[in-house]
Amino acid sequence: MIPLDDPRSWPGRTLFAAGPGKDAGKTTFLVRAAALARRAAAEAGLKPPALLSVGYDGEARDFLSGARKPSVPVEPGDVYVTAERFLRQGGASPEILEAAPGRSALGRLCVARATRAGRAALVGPEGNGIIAELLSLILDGGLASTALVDGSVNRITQVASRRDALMAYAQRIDRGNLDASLDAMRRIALLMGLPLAGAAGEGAAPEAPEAAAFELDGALTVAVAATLPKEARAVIAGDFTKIFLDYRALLAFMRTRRLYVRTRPEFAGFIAVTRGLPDEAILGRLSGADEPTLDGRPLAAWIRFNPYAASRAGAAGCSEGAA
Amino acid sequence: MRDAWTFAQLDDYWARYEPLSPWGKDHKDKRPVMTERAAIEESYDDIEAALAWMERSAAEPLRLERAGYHLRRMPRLPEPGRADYELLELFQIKKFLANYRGLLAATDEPVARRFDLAPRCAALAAELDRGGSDAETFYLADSYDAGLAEARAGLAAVDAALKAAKAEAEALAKAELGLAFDGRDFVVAPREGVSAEALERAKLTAEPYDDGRLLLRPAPRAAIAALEERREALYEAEREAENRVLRRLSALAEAAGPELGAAVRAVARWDLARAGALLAKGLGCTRPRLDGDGLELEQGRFVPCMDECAALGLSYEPLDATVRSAAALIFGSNMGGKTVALKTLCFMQLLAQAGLYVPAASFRTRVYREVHYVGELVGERLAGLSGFGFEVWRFQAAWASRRDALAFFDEPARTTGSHEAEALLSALVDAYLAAGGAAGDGAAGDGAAGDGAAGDGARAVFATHFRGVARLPGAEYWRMHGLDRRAACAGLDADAPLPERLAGINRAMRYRLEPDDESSPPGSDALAIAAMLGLDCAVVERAERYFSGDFGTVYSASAARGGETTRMDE
Repeated sequence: MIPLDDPRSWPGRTLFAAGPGKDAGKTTFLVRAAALARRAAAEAGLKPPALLSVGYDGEARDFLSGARKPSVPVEPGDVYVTAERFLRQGGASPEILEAAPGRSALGRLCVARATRAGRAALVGPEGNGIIAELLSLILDGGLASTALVDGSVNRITQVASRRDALMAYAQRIDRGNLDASLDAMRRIALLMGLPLAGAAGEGAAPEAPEAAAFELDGALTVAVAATLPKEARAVIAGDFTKIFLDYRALLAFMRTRRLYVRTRPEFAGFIAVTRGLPDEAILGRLSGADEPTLDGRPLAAWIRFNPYAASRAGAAGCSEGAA
Repeated sequence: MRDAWTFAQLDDYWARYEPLSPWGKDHKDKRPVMTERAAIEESYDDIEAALAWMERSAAEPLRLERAGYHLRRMPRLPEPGRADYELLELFQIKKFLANYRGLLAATDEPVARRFDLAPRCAALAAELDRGGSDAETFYLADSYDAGLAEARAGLAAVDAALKAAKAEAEALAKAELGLAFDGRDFVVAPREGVSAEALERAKLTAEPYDDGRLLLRPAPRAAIAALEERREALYEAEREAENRVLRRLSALAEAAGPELGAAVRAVARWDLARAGALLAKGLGCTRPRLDGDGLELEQGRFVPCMDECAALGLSYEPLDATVRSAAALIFGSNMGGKTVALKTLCFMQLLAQAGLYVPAASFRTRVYREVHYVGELVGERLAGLSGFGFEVWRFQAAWASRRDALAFFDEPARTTGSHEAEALLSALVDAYLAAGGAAGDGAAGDGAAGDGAAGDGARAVFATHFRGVARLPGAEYWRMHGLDRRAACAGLDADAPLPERLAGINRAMRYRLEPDDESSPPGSDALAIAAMLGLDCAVVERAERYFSGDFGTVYSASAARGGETTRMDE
């Protein structure tokens, strides 16, 4: 069982949905994951989950124009972060729990709790540091059992560095982007499998010695990789969000050097939102002997398809599993 | 004052000063240096009152904790005097008032009286307390308005009916097609085996998803549409009722504006006093005296340097210093601590004028209108100006506003030749003596800025290693004691690694000020230190002979290293 299949393992953790830009299926997954988290929390006698977003990309423009108001369904007791201007929209009749520090382009933010079912516009803070503060307030302050975060990879550094972080990676796949999507998933698998360097902080046990390792100050890009000293056989990056090599470049890099990270979220699994492709077309491509594995399992075992898929026999999980 | 602040490394110390409320933090961020004696004394009095409260509450650690807890939880307040507050703004006011009450409960009567921490905004607080599941959250509760309760009751009924209708639709889909919607608004299912008749029976609509799958959702039902229409109407009624409540609460908040303002001022003042008292208690600080004229420091601890020494495992020696003249010079060799002595005095003066106690056994001074620093700051560059150019530029600025100002000069003209530097320094001392005015020396007055001297009231303290400065009547000449060469000789291991040698120098260095008179010991600390740091002993010995002027050995630096003395001309 992978973490995506087991919502009972989510309480106390931050499950964030990452993905390549917008329309990757992150919000679709988040809505489904929220339903499962609510059920798991209720069964365990815990508080409902919290829903957050980091960044709002294209969605923000929609918010601003008023042409469309993307929102997620919330149930009584759900905690969420939104902008003041959206508080009284969506029918959830919120109770304000806290004013969030800082501001967003959409104005002041706050942490609210739904007192009845409705919809909520999730709005993320502008500063990455503030999302960490909010998560601390919500989870460490006991406002919710689980935090579910919708966010693009370039905004999730603060989330990913939390000790309790659990990352799902959502990817929309069709025939036109199949090869690129598979490479993106292989890349994530490599990144999620990177060993931790020593002194990982917050109690994480180092998985590799770092004697004579080269510590990167910032991001690992193709240009940076080309200028690394030849003798730097072991290289340490802060976390996977600082690694900007595509799959092929990353493979090439790892053929000649050992790459470590200081912090690393636990990987929950891939969400593949497919259209015009049978699941087998993806699973088959990722099952070869030369394909990367993660935690001793083939990549195919980490994929769950379409959160809205239902078989005729019924589906109660996050999606129907492939493994 | 900013350059002096930077020179004195006040920011390193400032991090320990921890007001907790938004207004206390704002004050801290401004790094205020006050020039009104009455305001400064009031700040000291506040700290004294906070210290007395801590003393009275020593047996009740929870009370002390609670005061900090409530300060930390206070939110910023919206702009006062508005007629229409938003939900979030009313939340902020409620949370502030809840923590204000908590703060009042944590303090005692003398504190309440001094800081004007009186009960306030009772009517507003009572109204806001009606909404929210606890003292700090806020919700437009049903009890605020009969119309609100009615609309919400209707909404609850409609929501229940919609939920039942949705469950019924899900059950039908499950029964007819074996599809589990599981709370989802729609599902994607294989096209195979889904006939139009089956969809009709299951009351589902279908649209193509891709070649092999359909997107299925419950078909619109008249009963559900009617419920949703009813819900929209109830939402509107709820909104109108909420607006009525918001207007009423806003009117109360608007009327309470002056009281809220007074509460904020009281909180800010108490917060600063508490933070100052904690700092004073933690570091054993004392109240500065502002009734002096010169600078009289006893056992002054320059905390940034003390921290640095502790981190390096080095010992730190507090400073005693007395400056009464309008111009005082501190001589000292390299690594002898003259710059640290200068920084210590600057640090104490700025802290005192920031309204805080100082880490010293005692500090007596007066209030200056300005505190200047003239010298180079780490890392600064200005196009077209050398280090010397910078100094001249800074000095000009300081000189132009010298009235009632205290200036600290660190190694002025260090980048010029020694002869020119000594000439320039002599002129600066002379100028300050004239500006400060001999008549001002010792004319303490009441310590307020502007009345300390018959002249401009200017005072300057210089640190320099140029000893050829003119000895002018009225000026004070001090020197750092410097290296205890006997201790250095005894304690230094010639083969020790560099950090150990540095520690050895530190152990043997005596960081204290003493009058620079004829009793000064002969010999050069700089040459001895160079020897201790490993400079070739033959070179050191030759330098010693040049230093003494007669090629006679004054002090065997190589002996200090424990090595053999080798004459280069042997």
